[in-house]
Amino acid sequence: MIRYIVGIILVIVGIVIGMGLHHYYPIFQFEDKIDVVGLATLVVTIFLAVYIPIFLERNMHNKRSEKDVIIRKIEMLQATIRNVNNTVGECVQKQTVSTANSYHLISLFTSISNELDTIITLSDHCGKDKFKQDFEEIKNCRFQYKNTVTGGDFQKKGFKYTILDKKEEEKIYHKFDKALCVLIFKVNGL
Amino acid sequence: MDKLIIKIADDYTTIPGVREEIEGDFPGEEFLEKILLPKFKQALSENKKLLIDLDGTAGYATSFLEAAFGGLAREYKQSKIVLDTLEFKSDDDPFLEDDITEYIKEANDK
Repeated sequence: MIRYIVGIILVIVGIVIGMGLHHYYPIFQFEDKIDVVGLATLVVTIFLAVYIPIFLERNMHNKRSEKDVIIRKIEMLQATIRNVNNTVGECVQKQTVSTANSYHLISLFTSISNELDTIITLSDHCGKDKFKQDFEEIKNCRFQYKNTVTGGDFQKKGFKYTILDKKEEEKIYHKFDKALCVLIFKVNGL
Repeated sequence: MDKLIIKIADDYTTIPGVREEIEGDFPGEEFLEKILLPKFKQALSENKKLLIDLDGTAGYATSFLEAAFGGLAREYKQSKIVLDTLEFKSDDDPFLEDDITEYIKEANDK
C-alpha cells in the first residue's frame, strides 16, 4: 500500500516539477500535440518500469528462494548417502559390522527415505511433474542401495562386507549421487 | 471392511533383526511364522484386511522385510492375494511400503 502511495506522490511531484519548469524556465518548449510513437514509447516505458520491479523481479526472487531450499535438501541427502558409503567403507576396513554400525546404517536409510520424500514434496510445489522421471530413477537407486547395504546376511552374527559387496555398493552409491547431481542441475534450470 | 492389526513394535519387537532364526535375534522368519502368518490366515478366513503398522521400531533391514513379507508371498505362491489383503502404515519411513510391495512382487519371481 505504501509503495502505491509513494508512486502516486512521485507522479504528482513529477507533474509539479514539469509545470514549474514550464512556468519559471521557458527555455524548455513543450509540444501541445502528442505523436503516436511518443505515446507508445511512454506506455512501454511505464509498463517496463512497473512490470520489471513488481512482477518479474518478485517472481524471480521467489523462484530462487524455492530452488535454493530444494537444492539445500538435495545436498543434505547427498551427505546422508555419503555417510552410508563411509560407514560401509569403515566396516570393510574393520572386517566386521558391529551392532552399532548396523543400526546406524538402518537409521541412515530411514533418513534417506524421509529426505527424499521432502524433496519430492517441495519439487511438486515448485515444478509440478517436471522431475517425475528423475524421481523414478532416484527412488530406484534408493531401493537398490538399501538392498545392497542391508540385504543378504546383513545383521547375521559374523556378517561382513566382502570386497565384491563394497564394489557393488560403490557402483550404486555413485549412480545415486550422479542422479542427485543431475537433479540439482535441473532444479537450477527451472 | 473391518481390519485386523499387527503393530510390530508392540506385537513383536522394537528392534527387528535378521533374516533367519539361526542368524540372530528377532528374525523376519520368526515374525512370519509366529505373528504374520497366523494373522494373515485369520484375515483371509474372516475376509478382512490386515493392517501392518511399521512405526515405532529402530528401522528395518532388507533381510528382515524380505524374509517376512517375501516369505509370506512364497507361502501362498502368489503375490496378488498378499497385496490385496495387506495394508501398511509407515509414517516413520515413507518408502517402506513401496519396498515391501516390491519384495512381495519379487518373491515368486526368484
